[in-house]
Amino acid sequence: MLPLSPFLVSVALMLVIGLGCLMIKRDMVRLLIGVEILFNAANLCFIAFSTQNIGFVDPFAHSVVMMAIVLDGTVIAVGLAMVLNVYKHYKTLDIRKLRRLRW
Amino acid sequence: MVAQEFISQGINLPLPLFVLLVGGIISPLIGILAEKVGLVKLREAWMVIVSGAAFVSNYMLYQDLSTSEGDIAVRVIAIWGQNPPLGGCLEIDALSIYMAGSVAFIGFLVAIYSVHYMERESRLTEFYTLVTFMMAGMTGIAMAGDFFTLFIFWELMGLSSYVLVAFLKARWGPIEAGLKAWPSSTGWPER
Repeated sequence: MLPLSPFLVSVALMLVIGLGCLMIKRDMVRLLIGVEILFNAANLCFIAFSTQNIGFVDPFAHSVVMMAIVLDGTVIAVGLAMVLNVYKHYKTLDIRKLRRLRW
Repeated sequence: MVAQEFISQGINLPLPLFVLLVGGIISPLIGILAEKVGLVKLREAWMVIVSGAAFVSNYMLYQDLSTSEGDIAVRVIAIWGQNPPLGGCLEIDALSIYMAGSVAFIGFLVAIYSVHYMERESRLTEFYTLVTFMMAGMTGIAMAGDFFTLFIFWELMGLSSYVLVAFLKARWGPIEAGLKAWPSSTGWPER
């Protein structure tokens, strides 16, 4: 059974870094990187808690995390494709410029 | 007390989900074939057939699960050949048949209406594939029995839906709307 606290400290740090990145940055690619850090924090939390059974490591958490990594990759790929198309139309990556869609 | 069935042998999928997933996988091949042969309406016909078959198979599932006492049995299917605590499962009851049936019915209407509505657009093969996979995702959400299966089908639905929002990428509106629909599946705060 691994000690839990280093993993939880890293998860908390990654959550703070990812949310701070989402709140402070204005570049869309950096926002995508922030989302990716949040995904990885969630996955690390799953893996850390899966080692807390006495005698075995829970395989279900590992399968969930493996599937989640694949799905995160696709989500980020679609997000990057959209950022590329945004750059084609708006000629900028600044998220604050995406304000044309208002009533 | 409603009757319960438990299926755990082999790789099983309920019929509506099977029809929609296989229909979505075959749909690009149908698109390629339609462009080669020159029958451009083949893709639309395939989408109408698949969604109609999903609706009919929902009805067949309903009749399959109806018991002689007048209520509907709950069927638990272990999809990956493992029993539910260690593998994903689908749990089909009356509510999931109702939700999957309405998804298939609305999808059938969407298929019929988009024949004329999307007539002048290009990339129709991608469009019909995405719509079919979105219907498959929603059917899977209605039938999911645990959070793992729900997560997979949620992402299937989410990915297809925000690509569909940004489908007409030649204009700025759909792109911006797609980027603003993207956090609905990832948690990006709306700005």
